[in-house]
Amino acid sequence: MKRAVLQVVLLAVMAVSFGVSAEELKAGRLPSVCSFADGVYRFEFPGDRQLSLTFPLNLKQGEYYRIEFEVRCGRGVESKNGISSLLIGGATRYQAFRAGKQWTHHVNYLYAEREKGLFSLSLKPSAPDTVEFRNVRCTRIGDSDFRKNLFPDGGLESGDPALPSWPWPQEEFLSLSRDAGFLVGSYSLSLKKGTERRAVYALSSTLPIRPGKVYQVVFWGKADRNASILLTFESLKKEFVVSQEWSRGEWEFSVPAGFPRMGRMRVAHQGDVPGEVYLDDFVFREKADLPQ
Amino acid sequence: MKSFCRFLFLAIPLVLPAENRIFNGSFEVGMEGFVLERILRPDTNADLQFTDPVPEKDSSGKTGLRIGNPFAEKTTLHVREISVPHGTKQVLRFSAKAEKNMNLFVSARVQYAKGSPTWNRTFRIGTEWKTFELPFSVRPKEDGFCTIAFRNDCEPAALFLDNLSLASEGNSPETPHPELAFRLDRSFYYRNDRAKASFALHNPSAKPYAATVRIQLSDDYSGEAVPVAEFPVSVKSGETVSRDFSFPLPRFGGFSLNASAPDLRASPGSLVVIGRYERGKKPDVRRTFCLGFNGGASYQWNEENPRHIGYLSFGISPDRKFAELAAMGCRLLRSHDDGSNLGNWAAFETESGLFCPERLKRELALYRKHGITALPVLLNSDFPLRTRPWHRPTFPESVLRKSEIIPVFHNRNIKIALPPDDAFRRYVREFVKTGGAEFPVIEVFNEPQFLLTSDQYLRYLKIASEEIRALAPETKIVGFCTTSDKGESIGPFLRKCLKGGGGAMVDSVSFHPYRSRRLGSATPADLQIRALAELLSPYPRLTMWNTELYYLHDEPGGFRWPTAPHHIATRLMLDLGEGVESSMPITLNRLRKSSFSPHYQGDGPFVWQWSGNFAACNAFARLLEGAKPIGKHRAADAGVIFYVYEKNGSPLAAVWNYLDKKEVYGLFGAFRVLDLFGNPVDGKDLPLKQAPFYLLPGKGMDRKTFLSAIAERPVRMDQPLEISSAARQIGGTLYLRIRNAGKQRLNGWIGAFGAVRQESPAAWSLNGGEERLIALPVSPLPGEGKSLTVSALVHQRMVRTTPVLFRNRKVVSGGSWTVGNSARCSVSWEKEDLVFRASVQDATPSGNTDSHAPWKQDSIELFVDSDPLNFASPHPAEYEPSVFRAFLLPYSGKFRLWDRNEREIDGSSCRLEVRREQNGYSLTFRIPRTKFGIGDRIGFDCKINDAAAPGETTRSVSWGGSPEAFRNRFVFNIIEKENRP
Repeated sequence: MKRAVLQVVLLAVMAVSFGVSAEELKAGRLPSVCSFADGVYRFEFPGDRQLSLTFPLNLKQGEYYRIEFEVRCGRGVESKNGISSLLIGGATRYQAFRAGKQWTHHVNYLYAEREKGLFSLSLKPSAPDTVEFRNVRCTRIGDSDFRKNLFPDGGLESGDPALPSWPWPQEEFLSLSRDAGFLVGSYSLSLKKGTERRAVYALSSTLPIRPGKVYQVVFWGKADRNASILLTFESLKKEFVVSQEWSRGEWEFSVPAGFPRMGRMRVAHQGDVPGEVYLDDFVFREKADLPQ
Repeated sequence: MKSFCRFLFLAIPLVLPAENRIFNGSFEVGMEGFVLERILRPDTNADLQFTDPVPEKDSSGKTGLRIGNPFAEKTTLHVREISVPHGTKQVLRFSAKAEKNMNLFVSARVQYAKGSPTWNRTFRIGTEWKTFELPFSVRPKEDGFCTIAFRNDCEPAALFLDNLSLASEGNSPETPHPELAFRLDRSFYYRNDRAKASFALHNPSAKPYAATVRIQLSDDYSGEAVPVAEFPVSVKSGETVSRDFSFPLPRFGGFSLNASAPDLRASPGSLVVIGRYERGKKPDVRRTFCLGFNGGASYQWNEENPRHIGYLSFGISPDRKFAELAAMGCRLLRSHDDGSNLGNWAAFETESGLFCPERLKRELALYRKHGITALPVLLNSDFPLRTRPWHRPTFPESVLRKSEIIPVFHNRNIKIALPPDDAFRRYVREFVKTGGAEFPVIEVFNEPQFLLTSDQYLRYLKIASEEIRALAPETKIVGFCTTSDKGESIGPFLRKCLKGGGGAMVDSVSFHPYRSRRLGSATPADLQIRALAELLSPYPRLTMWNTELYYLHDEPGGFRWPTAPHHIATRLMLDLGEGVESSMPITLNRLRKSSFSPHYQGDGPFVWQWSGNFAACNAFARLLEGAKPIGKHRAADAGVIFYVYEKNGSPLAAVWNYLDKKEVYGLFGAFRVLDLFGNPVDGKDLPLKQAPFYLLPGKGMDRKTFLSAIAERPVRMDQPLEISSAARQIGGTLYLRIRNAGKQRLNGWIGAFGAVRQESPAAWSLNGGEERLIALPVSPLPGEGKSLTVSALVHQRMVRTTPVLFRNRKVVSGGSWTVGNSARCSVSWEKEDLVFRASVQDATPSGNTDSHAPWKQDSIELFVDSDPLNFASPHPAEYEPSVFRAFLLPYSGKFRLWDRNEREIDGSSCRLEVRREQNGYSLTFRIPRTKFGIGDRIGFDCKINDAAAPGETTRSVSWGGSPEAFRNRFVFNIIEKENRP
């Protein structure tokens, strides 16, 4: 592997704007195998050790933020060694990510318990690869954002095989399907249960949530034979029956006090009967307060 | 060296890929893949025998084809159509010899989507075998379909052909695979016959061939296949084996025999199974609805080459053709589009005053023998002058010399001959005298409105009527032949003729309903017939005859789309049910399979292999010949029609789903139900589609019970949601219409994808009978060619359709746009008016006249739709009453307004102001909005016509860019008074 000319760019830590416009984050000290040019961080990843890009965060305490980035790699979705982490106030929260050969767009959310934090993009040891990152941005989100669909790419129409909205790789049973025949779009999520006894589920990327508010989860589901799925959001759960034609599922819940500020949605294909469940059009949003 | 060359000569075919595209090029499996065409000459072949070619083995045991020509006829061997790949050079090779030296004319024609170049060569054939070649090229980027012909022009000697091959240059002409062809003992069968068949399998390869050949019989209509026989075969290199087998035929219909085995190239066999049609007494076609077609014996008149005068025959004689048509149930043949038709004047009056009845008498004997009545059409459409040598002679030269030669009233480029009255009168008189009682019906001209004014037509109709009534008062005169072909409207010509007294000159009015082909057409067929009947109501004596409708459906592809058995059956049922006295919509060609040269554009070669259409017509003849209509019931929401008839005192009905709606079922358990071929079916929960069924009284069911059961309209519709067949995307919104055709409330979701992107499905609900315009927020997806799919989830069932998508531009009042390179236009709402402005550069002013069509001179055409989001069912893109057109003539300052039916409407409240400018003109046209029902949104298009002189447009360019604006309102763009999101 050609050794890229190292360009160690010491960038001043830029304060994150307290406005709602996205602010591009700048990494701290770059590993020696990483270069930065034209807005792209490029790793010539040797694979023998974990390497990271670290982005310092200056936040407004008590606010929510959305962190986005794009990634691509030479090995494509075979590579499953991406992990992002958020370190705020001593607690680290991890989220996996996969990269494809085309740019893949990823979204994380965070709650600023403190004013300072660190966002890292890490590559765990695996096969050597060339990995690139760009457009690492942080945006504060407000009330109106919570009332829109917080679920990134809920309709799966990016068609991205890296499944950025469901980033924890479970390709034995989780994939994109083009044959599901949903009402809109081309792609749906497929959870396929075989004869092996194991949990079949999809785990979403991190979603923000505000205690005291009411949230609405909507999805569409279909199965090749009637099936039961269990939706779990942290400690809250609800079961749905999915039939052989598309049907809409809806779940509303109030967030109790003390509930975590961030969580993940888990969709599990229940039961022992083998079969395939298709899911589409995920919506996760806060319901507006009713007028008094 | 010599032996090396010899080795190479033998070895090269072994190493080059063998690629002979011609099936059965050595005739080892008979005549399959070929058809012989002959012009049977009555002067040498009085009995009009068809001499078949014969595969013959020569002394070496090799088979070749012997094409005898005992009657010195123009004889052509056609090769079945072959696909040829683009960018290749193909080489046709063949071996030939003849009984005596003769010329052989060989042509290879390659058909493309547009164009069909032909390579011709005349070869001199001697008495010894010799091999010949004809190379030709295929277009670099388009595959073609090649037909090959070998023609002997009347040499009375036998020609021998062998080793026909077509291969890409550089490839071996050897046939790589074993070939199989079937032979059947009859060309049609009756139900419950046992078909006797055989196959021949030839192995041309260097290796022996061993396999199990599996034979299936497939129903051409349903696609269902049943195994018939299985044969293990073992064939040495160069040998041919044959096997006999038989199988029962328990069902009516059209069928194919298929053989399969590894590496086997098999040509399907074809058979049709009909019921016995009791010929009995020949019906009086003047009053009896019976099975009729356009066609005949295909006589060819050729005064320049008398040896080419005769009957164009493919594989069988006219006598055999008529015999098989008679067995099917054919009773009437309209002589049109059949070569030199019966009414061809040149073939009848061969010299001035000299009428030759032989041809007519000869053919009438054929008709008589087979119980078929001829319907001659006097002069057919023979008025245009012959401008090319190969155009068929129509009028005798002696008549042409005395005729008035004038341009057709609507096109100066077409010249027609108007014969002198006395010559025409004499022709009619002699024609009627020759035919006598064998012409119980005579039609006067075919579609005269394209060539003659109503006055011109009435002039000749009067003469014909006088002569026919004087000589043969019992003969029914059919006139007017009013047509909506080529975009014409069926009414105006007929109205003028009736106003001119034409009603008294005829007994029946013929019509060609091209714009009203089916019940589900934009102008439904029954409404068109009703409108015609209303027009004729002041003349109760006049009946209606449908004498032509070659294209029976509206499906994409127009006439290239095959005619299916249900198309012909339902049209006949509809015409009978609506009180049309006689109907003969299609040509005889539609009764045969088109597999010989399916891509040929024009009159291509074919084999008389009867198709399922033949069986469907036979069923109609058996069940409904002579029936009278007694009722009609419509289950409108389900799109199902019932026509009720009476035949010989017994009632029966025909039923079908004319809108082809999904999930519609007939509840016909109480009836005896037959499919369109006459096969019995179980009527309980019978899925209804476009194919009709016959309903007869069930066991013990009397007439009254039958009629009242039909009147109940016993159908069930399981999926009542209708989605419009078209959708419009205007900006970020997709518009379409949904309707609840049922009685219960429906709830559901709807989504669109494919050509557009919609984020999430939209909810909807409709009460019974309610319809609604749906506006879906969408964004267009890049990439041309994607079709739109609309899915609706209705009570947990998904319904999917693919509406035609129209993407329309949208501008706001006052916005302007360019049209082509030469005009700038705008539309605005100004006080009470809609105001159109245009500035046009035109360096070649044509001037304007009233005697030319407005689009054939400098002009601007406007297309306005005051209700563009009105989605009528089931053809929303068709013009609605909300559409009108304006023709603005800048040099005369005049304008014309048309309604959607191209009738002039009052435009006195509109104002046109024109300013001539250097190199062009500008104009303003004001339309009062209230008078024309114009609200805040219109559909709109404009077309700039540019001509150098009136009569011919040099070019036209429109804003919307579609040539369909004259009949499709959904290609109009949208203009809004104010910007809406």
